[in-house]
Amino acid sequence: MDFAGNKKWFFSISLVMVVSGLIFLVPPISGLKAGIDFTGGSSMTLQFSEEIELKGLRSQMALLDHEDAVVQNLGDNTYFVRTKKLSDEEKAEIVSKLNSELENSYSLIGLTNQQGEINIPAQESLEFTINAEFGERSGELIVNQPKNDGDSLVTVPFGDLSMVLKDKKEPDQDVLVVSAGAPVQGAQITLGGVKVLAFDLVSPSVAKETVRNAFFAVLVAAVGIFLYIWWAFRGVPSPLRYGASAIIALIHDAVIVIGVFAALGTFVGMEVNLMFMIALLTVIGYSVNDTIVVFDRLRENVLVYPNRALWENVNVSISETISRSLNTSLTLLFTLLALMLFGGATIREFLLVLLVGVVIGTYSSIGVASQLLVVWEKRGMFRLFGRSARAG
Amino acid sequence: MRRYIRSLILVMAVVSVAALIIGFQKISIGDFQRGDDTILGMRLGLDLQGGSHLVYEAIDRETGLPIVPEPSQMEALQRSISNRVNASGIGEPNIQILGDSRLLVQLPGVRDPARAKSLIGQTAQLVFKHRQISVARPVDEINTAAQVVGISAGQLPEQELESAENSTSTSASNPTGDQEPPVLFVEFTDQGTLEFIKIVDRMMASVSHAITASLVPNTLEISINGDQPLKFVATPFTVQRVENTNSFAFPFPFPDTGEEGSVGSLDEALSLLGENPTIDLVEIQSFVDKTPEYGNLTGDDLARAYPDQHAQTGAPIVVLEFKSRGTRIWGQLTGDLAGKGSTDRIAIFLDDTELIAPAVTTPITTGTTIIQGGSFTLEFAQDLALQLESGALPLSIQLLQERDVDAILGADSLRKSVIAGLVGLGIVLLFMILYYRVPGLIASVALIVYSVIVLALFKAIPITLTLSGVAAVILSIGIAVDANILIFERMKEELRMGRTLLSAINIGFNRAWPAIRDGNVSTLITCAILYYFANQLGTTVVQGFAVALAIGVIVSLFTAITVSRTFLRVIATTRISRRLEIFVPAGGADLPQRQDNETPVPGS
Repeated sequence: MDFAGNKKWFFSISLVMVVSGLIFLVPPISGLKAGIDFTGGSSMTLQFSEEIELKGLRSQMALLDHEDAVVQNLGDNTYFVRTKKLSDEEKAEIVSKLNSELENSYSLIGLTNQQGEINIPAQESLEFTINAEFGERSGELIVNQPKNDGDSLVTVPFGDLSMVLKDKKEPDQDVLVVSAGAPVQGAQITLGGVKVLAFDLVSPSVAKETVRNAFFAVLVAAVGIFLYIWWAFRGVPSPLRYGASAIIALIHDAVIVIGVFAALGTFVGMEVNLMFMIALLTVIGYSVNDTIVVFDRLRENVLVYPNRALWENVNVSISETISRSLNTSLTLLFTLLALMLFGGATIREFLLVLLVGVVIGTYSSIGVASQLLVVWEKRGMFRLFGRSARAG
Repeated sequence: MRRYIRSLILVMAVVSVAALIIGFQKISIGDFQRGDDTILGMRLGLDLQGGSHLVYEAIDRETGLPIVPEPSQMEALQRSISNRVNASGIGEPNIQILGDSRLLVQLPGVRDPARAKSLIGQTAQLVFKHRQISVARPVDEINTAAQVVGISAGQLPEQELESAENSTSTSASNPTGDQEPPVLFVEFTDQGTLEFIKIVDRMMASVSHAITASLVPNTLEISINGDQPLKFVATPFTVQRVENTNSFAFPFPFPDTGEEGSVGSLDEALSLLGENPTIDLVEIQSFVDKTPEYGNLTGDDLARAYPDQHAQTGAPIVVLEFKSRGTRIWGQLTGDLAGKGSTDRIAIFLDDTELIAPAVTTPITTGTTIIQGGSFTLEFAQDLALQLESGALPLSIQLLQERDVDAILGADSLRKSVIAGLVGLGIVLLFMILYYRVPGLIASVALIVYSVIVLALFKAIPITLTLSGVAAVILSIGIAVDANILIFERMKEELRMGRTLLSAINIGFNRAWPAIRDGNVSTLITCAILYYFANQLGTTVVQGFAVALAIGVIVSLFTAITVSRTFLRVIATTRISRRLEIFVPAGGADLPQRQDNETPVPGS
C-alpha cells in the first residue's frame, strides 16, 4: 500500500481534526468545561428515611442534570453528594425530586373535590415532608410531631392545605386526609423524606497547581523523549527528525483528544475532571510507544536498504508493522469497549478518553509521524503543503 | 533443552512467590506486614475503596470557640494536612474546604477513627525553648521537703521485693547475703506525695529524652542528716512507692564516710539514721526554660519541616525552614547558643512533650536548618518531621464529624468494572490464541504471569492502587501485549523465510528487541519525569500514575523477554515444534515462502 503517496490526505485529515479541535478549545467557544474536581462546587450530606440504592441516587442526580455528581455512601442511609455549585432553589429542587422518588411518597394531583385521602403505614410519630404547588405558590414543609391519642392524631396547616392524620383503627394503617381551601394543582407528601444534614460550598478537590504541574511535566517529558529518540536513532541519517516527528505526533494526539472533549463539552455539556487528565497522560504514553514501533522498523529498513528512497522505506515499514499496530490497538479497544459497555458508569468518561486516544495514537504513527519524515526529507519542514519541490 | 530449564525454573520461582504474595490475604513476616481485608489484600485508594470521612472546624486557639478564618489560612491548613497525610504513606487523601471554616478530610482505607485522628493530629502547639542542662533546683522551692513526715529504715514487704529487685537492676548496690538489704523509707504528706510523684515523673520523662537527645537525665540529690550524713543520688529506677501508702523506698545509701562496704543489716541502717533525721531534696534538672527576650518561637514561625538525607554522609536528617520572623529569631537564638556545646540546647516541644533538643554548632541566619543525630533512622527522621510539621498547623481545629465513607466511584460501579475488565482481558486472550495459535497461547500465559507479578509488586511495596494506577496498568498491559505481538510478527516473518522454529524464535526476539526497548525506555523516561515533577510539587495523583506505570513497564519487559521466550524455547525443543503451521497465523498456508525480492546490501 502506498501510504507515503497519500500523505496529503493524511495531513488534510489531521489538519481538519487539529483545527476543529482548536476551534472548540480556544475562545470564543472554549468548550472544554472544567468539572467539579477543578472548580469545586456544593456538597450536601443527605439523610434518607428509608434505604435507597446508591445507583438510584446517582441516576436521579443525572436526571437533574448532575451527571457529574460524586455520590458517596456514609452509611446509615446517609450520603455525601458533591455537585457543581447549587443555589438554594436548585438544592430544594433536588431534595423535592429525591423525596418524590422515595417509596413512602404519595402524590395528590388536582384535588377537585378539595379533599383527598392517603392510606399510609401506621406511624409512631408523624414525620413527613410536603411539597405542594397551589396556584402560583409552592412550598415545602417538614413536619415532625409526636402522635396524639384520639381520632385526629396530628393536624398540620400548610398554606391552603390542611392535613389531618387519622387513626384508622387498624394495626398497620393510618390515613392522611388532605383538604384544600382552594384548588391545589398537586401535592407531594413524603413520609420521612430527605433531610439535608449539611449544605456547603466545597473547594476544588484538585489543587489549581496540579494541572499546571502535569502540563509542565509532560513538556519536560516530551523533551526527554525527543532527546532519547534522537540518540537511539543516531545510526540513521537525520536522527533529529525522528525525535521531532514523534513529538509532533504526540502533540497532535493530545490536541485532538482534548479537542474531542471540548466539542463534547460544547454539544452535550460534558465536563472533564481529574480522571480526564490521567487518561490523557496514558494516551500520551501510548502514542509515543506506538510511533516508536513504526520508527524502529523504518530504522531497520533504512539501514538494510540505504539506497531506497525514504518514502519507499516508510511504505514498506508501515506495511510490515500494520498488522501488529492494528492487533495491538484492537486488543486495547476490546478491553476498553468491554469496560465501557459492561463496567460501571462512573469511569465511562475516563474510558472514552482512552478509546479516542488509542485510535488517534495508532493513526498518527502511520499518518503523521512517518509522513512528516518523508515530507521533511523531500521539501523541508516548513513547506509541508507547498506545491513545488525544493530544488536539489 | 537443558539450558532453557534453568530459566524455566527462574520463571516458575518468580511466579510462585508472586502468587503466594497475592494468595495470602495478609502477610506478616517480622516487620514485613502487608495485606488488608480488601480484594486480594491490595492497598486501595479512596476512589476504589472508601475510608474515613472527617470534618474539622477551625477554632480559636485560646478559647476553643469556632472562628471564621481568612480563606488563605484555610488553604494553608489544607496544604499542611495534605502534606501530613501524604507523608504517612496511606495514599492519596481527599481534602476539601467546606464553606468558610470547615475542612473535609477523606482518608483511604482508614476505618479506625483513632488512627485517622492521630494522623491528622489535633491542635498541637510547637514551641522552641532554650535549655540548659544540669541546673540545680532545690526542691524546697515547691516545699516538698517540708512535706516529709517520716524517715525510717526497714524491709520491703515480701511481694514487693520481687519487683523492687527487677526495677533496681541498674542500681550499683546489690549486696549479697542471706539477709535482705535494708531500704530507706521516706514518708510524705498527701500533698508531698503528689509533688514527689511529679518529680519522679519528670525524671522518668527526662530519661527517655536523654536517650534520643543524648542528654543527662534529671536526677534527685537526697541528703539525710541523721547520726551520720547520708547523701545519695536517686534515679527513677531506684525509687519505689510502697503500695497504697505515702512512703517511698530507696536502696539504703552508703554512709558518707568514705568507708567501703555495704549497709548489710537493718540495725546498722537504723543506727545510721539516728533519732531525728532530716532531709534535703535537690532536683538536678536538665532543663530550664530560658526563652530569650527577643521573642518566642512557635510553630507559626516554621514554614515547613521534612525528612531528608545528608548531602555528604547520606545519613537521615530533618530539615527545618523558618518564615521571615522565625528566621530572625532563630538566627539570634542559634547565634547565642552556637558553640556552647551540649549544656545549652534548643528544646523543641509539641504540646509540652519534648520532641528533641539539638545542640547548636553554628549560628543559622538563613532560616534553613538541619537536625542530625548519630542514632537517627530514616523512620525517626520521618516521624520527627511529621511531628514538627503538625505543630506548625496554621489554625487550631477540632473534629466535628467522623464517619466511614464509601469509595468515590461506588462499590457497585467498581464491581461491574472489575468483571468487565476480566471479560475484556478474556477477549484479548481469546483473540491472541485464535490469531497467533501456539505463540498466542504462550502470550496469554505470559500475560497472566504479568498480571500476577504486577499485583504482587503492588501489594508488597506497597503501592496504593487508585484509578490512575489502574489506567497505568491498562497501558502497561497494552505494552506487554504489544511486546508479544511484535515478537510474534517477527517470528512469523522468519518462519516464512524458511527458518527452523528455534532460530525463528531467537531471531524474532532479537529483531523485535530494539522496538520494545525504545518504546519502554521512552515510557520510563516519561514516568521518571512525571514522578520527579509530581514529587517536587506534591501532586500525588500524577505520582501514583508514574510509579504504577514504571512498575508495569519493567514487569512487561521481564515477561516479554523472559517468560514468553522461555516457554517458546521449551516448546521448540519438543515434538510439537515440527508442526510449524500452528506457530503462524492463517494456518501457515504461506509457509515457507520468501517474500522479499530485493537483495539486502551486504555489510550493513
